[in-house]
Amino acid sequence: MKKPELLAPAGDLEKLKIALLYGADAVFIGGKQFSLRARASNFELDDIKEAVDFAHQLNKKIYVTTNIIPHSEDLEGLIDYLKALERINVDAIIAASSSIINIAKKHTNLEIHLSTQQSLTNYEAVNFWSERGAKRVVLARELDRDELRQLRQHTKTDLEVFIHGGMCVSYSGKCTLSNNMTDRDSNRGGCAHSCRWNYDLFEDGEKKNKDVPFSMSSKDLQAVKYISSLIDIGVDSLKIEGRMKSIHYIATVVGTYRKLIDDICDDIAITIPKYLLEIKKAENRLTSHGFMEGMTTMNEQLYNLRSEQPTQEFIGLVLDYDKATKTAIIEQRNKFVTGDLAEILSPNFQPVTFKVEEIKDLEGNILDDAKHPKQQLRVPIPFEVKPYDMLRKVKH
Amino acid sequence: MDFAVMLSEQAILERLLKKDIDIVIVGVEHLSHRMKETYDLKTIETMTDLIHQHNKSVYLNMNALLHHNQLSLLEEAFGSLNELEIDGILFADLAVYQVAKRYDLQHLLIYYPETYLTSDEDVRFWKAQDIKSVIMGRELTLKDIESIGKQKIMPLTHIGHGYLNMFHSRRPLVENFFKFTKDEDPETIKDKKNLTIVEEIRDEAYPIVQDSFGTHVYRAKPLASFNDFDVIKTSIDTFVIDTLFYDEKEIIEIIDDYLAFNQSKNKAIINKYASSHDDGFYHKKTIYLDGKGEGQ
Repeated sequence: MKKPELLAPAGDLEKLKIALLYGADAVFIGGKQFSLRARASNFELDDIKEAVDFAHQLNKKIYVTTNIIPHSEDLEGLIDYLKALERINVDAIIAASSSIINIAKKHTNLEIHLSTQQSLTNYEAVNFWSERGAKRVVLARELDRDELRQLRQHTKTDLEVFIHGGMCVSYSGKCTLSNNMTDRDSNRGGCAHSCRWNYDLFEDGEKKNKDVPFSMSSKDLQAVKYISSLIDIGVDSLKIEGRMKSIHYIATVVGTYRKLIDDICDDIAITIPKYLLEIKKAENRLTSHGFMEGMTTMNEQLYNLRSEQPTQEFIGLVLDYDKATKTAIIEQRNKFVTGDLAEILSPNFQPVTFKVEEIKDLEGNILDDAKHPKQQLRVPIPFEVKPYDMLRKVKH
Repeated sequence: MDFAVMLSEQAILERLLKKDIDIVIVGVEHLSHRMKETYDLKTIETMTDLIHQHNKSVYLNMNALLHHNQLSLLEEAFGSLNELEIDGILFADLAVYQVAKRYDLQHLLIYYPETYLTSDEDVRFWKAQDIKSVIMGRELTLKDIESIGKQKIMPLTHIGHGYLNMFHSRRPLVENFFKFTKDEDPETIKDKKNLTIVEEIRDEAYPIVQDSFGTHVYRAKPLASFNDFDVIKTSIDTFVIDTLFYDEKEIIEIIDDYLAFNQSKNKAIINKYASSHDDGFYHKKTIYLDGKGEGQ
């Protein structure tokens, strides 16, 4: 059984390090140019270099998105940018535009992954891009497992499949709702998520929806139940979406899928509810299986704006730990008080709970609560923790 | 510049053939998106003979996004194409290119991806694929079209008139919504072609259609190109009139208006379409958010 790559998103260096430390084999990031969701990215070239160096020390990979569909004037600076990425030694670019792919091939030896923005739904289309230099394709999210299996049987190209996170309800790359409704180009980083807005539906001018607004919005993808099947099919990379998500979300989701993939490949009996329970500790959106079981039904849609609350709250990030005093220095992320029951999330061991017996600031003053964002605090923890471990409040 | 017209229904074909148009674009059963009617290969063969008798060309619209269960239909269609003597094939899915190449018919292809062709570099890429023509992204400005057209990289085809779609989901969104709310019978309403959606803080009514390929949402107003016809004429090689949502009378009128306008500019024709149509993105530059600010 071939173990697939676990690919995670990162919007900044901290998220990137968390993703890699919690078990991602590779991380995709966007630079300031040529990338969709550029505003979700904080990676200047220097940051990308630091990201690559960090990842390569761990024998892991960094892919950089250059996935806009550029107009002619947007191509200025592309060659220099791609050459810089090559010098930095990124492991691949993720591109959707024939222009960018062509220029990358002509001027660099960068590995090219074809973005899901191309919405490839069959092996013929996959092979088209493979013959033109794509080492890997990120498949359309509209494919069910039977289609993925057929695809695997007819191509040698590396296949990447989304397993978790937000989804375009349109075929990706084909939507211009934003362009038309807000003048923002959805294929150049401006998607306004118009598909998630509320509408009324009319037939010849007569309103047909009553109490609930018409909506096209989909629930997020969550494919815990299908990982075993995707591994069996021979998918090469399993992708988590969400460059704007918090470090707690990334740590929880990446850590859970890491454990799940490892357990499946190590032939350990898996209990799906256990992994689902863990993901719910950080998930704040309703989820569904997308197209994993075939054509979507009303159950995969979002007909009101109700969100889920995570079952546990991220309250602090471990910066250091003194074994002698059994005290951690943590950075506060959400309010907590003395007496709270907390849990340590770590890439090194399964979650362990403890009671917050005391909170002190760095000057040694005892505090009743931790209410200042990013304040550094001393908190006794009765077992060893390490930097990048996280504290989360256990809700009763 | 050639004039091409999407065939909305077979009943209108003879009237179209009397017009001074150059190309008729025909929908293919199971392989065309957003056509009012599509036809099996036998019917297309008959139509092709008739169209050729009038010294006009026949293009097939094979613009569907294809999943694996449609690939055998695609192979079947290409197996018959040599006998049909088709003059061009519009396509969006790269499977069509792959199959066409196996049949050595890629020279008939016109790439019509709607969004992916937005730069002169893209056009060069497709010229290298040895195809007949490309249709540029519909969100390009007139200046973009002019700039690319001037370079004469390869023949350009342009959808210059009609309702353009702006969204396609594989999901049956109308049916699923009414299954959830039970406001209407989902089985009845899902096939209706007279539905629109209106966003809660906007006034425009966007046509929405669910069919066997999913759900399509169209721009509120159809595109018309009379205002900018001089530039279009010098920039592109084939001008396409998309006839979806128009009735026979309107289609004939639109064709007559373009043919007349092509002979001499007529302010009355411009005015006739001024309120019911718009000029799309010809003069509306969309924003590129590149991470350096709120748009450049």
